[in-house]
Amino acid sequence: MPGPGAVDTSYPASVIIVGGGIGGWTAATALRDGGYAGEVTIVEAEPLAYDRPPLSKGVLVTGADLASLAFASADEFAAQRIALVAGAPAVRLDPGAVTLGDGRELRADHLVLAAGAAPRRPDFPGAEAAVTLRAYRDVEQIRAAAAPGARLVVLGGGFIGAEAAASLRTIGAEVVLADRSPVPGVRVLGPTLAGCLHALHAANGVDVRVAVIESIEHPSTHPHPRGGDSAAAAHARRRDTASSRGLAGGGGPLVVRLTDGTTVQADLVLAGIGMAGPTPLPGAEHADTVLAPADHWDDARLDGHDAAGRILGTEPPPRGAPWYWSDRYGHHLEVVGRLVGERQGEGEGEGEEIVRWAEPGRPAAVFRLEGDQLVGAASIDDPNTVRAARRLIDQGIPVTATALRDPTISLRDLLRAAR
Amino acid sequence: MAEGIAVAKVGDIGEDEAIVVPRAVAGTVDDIGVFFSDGEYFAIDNTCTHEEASLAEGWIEAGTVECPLHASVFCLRDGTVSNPPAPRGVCPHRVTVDGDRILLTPDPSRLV
Repeated sequence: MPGPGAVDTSYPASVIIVGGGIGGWTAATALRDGGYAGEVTIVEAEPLAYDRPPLSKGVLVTGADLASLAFASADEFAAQRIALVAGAPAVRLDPGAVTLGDGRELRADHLVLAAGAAPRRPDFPGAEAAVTLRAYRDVEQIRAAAAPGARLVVLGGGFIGAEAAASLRTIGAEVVLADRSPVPGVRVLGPTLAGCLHALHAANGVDVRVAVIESIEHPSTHPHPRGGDSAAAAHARRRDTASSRGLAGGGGPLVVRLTDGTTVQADLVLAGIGMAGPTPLPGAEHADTVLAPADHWDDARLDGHDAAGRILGTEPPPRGAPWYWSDRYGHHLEVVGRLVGERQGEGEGEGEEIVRWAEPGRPAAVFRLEGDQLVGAASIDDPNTVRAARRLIDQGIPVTATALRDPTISLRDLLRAAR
Repeated sequence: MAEGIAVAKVGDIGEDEAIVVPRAVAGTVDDIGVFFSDGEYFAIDNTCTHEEASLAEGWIEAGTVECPLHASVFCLRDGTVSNPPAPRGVCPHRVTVDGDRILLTPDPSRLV
């Protein structure tokens, strides 16, 4: 441990952060907030350092421009003395050096790798025609194919797939949502919440399938749709005459064969099937600090904070229960902690799921109670219940199933009563 | 001159609660949230700088409010924001108590 007066000299003179998402941005600002006076540079492959969660939500609906997602304006970057090198990806790390795609080499005493995860790509025949949703340009491509009346297949009913399906329905596209599970998300959200959330898709006119994609074929290789889907065939013929939308290959609608035996004509296929691991980068082992891809935005934010703290020689503060949100069909979901048993597949175990019903069939909140301890909570359109639950969990305040179940009892009052 | 706009009576706003003064009433470019926390009244522009969300609906605690959508934390006293996704703070306004009346004096920079 450096003693008083020695701290400054122990800091690196310059830091490069590879990745301008929430983790990298938070690391940069937390360095400044912690009094770091050296050079701070963010390297971002895309044109800006920006916030990603809106991509599958508001941006897919409204087409909001990239600048509206920026963490800070150019003036605010300058005021914080954070340099942004954007628009060229980092292609290699060496000790103390970052090489960019345009050949430039940047040097710093300390390299932070915060490039996030790469999306997992499907591997069925023709899968190269499917797009993933990770970057702003992906949203541009999806929106270009998603005019009202267009048909899209979304593979995967997890967070990205569910949000994208909802956003695409909101702008009037026809959506087929395919997932191998009848209740996607059940192993994370528990049966009641996952079931209610998934049911929103059908209620909003999404064609929900318990299936995955078997293959994607271009019409040139598959002129006669199989499966006797004559409506789809007619749809395809209409589309053929007006298919200037410009898909990958530009050859008109894709023929998507599902494992339920049906065939769907689609203008675009979006695969939302999870993450493949860290964004590949040769020489990644030369990073001095690595922010591993996080499951959720707030985890990545806290990882950025902790990374800055460690560079400045401080131990990270204890972390509370993880918190995240999702938005779909005008509903705002928040989750804190763990909604299922700790060991997957063992059913309810020693805990129980408690549902607080807003009305029959529509939960306002769902809790997981283990003994007298709340370990997880989720709410739909009632964020302050989760904010209160977050504090009840982190402070270990005992609660009862009766109180959690009763919609007339405010969790805030439970928190106040314990103080 | 003007003594401020009477927006509520003492006791109308509970501990860690807030009311919204519509922009049409305040004569401002944004609605104003009037908050009561830690025994003090505060007023700030009510719309989060990140997305369309009413800060008065957020989690109010110890002189701060957490945005109800994505949990950016704003200081009620000076409007500064302490964590993303909100890119910048909101404008604070003056609140005074005269007898049992809560008076709001909007910041001149935010008047229509």
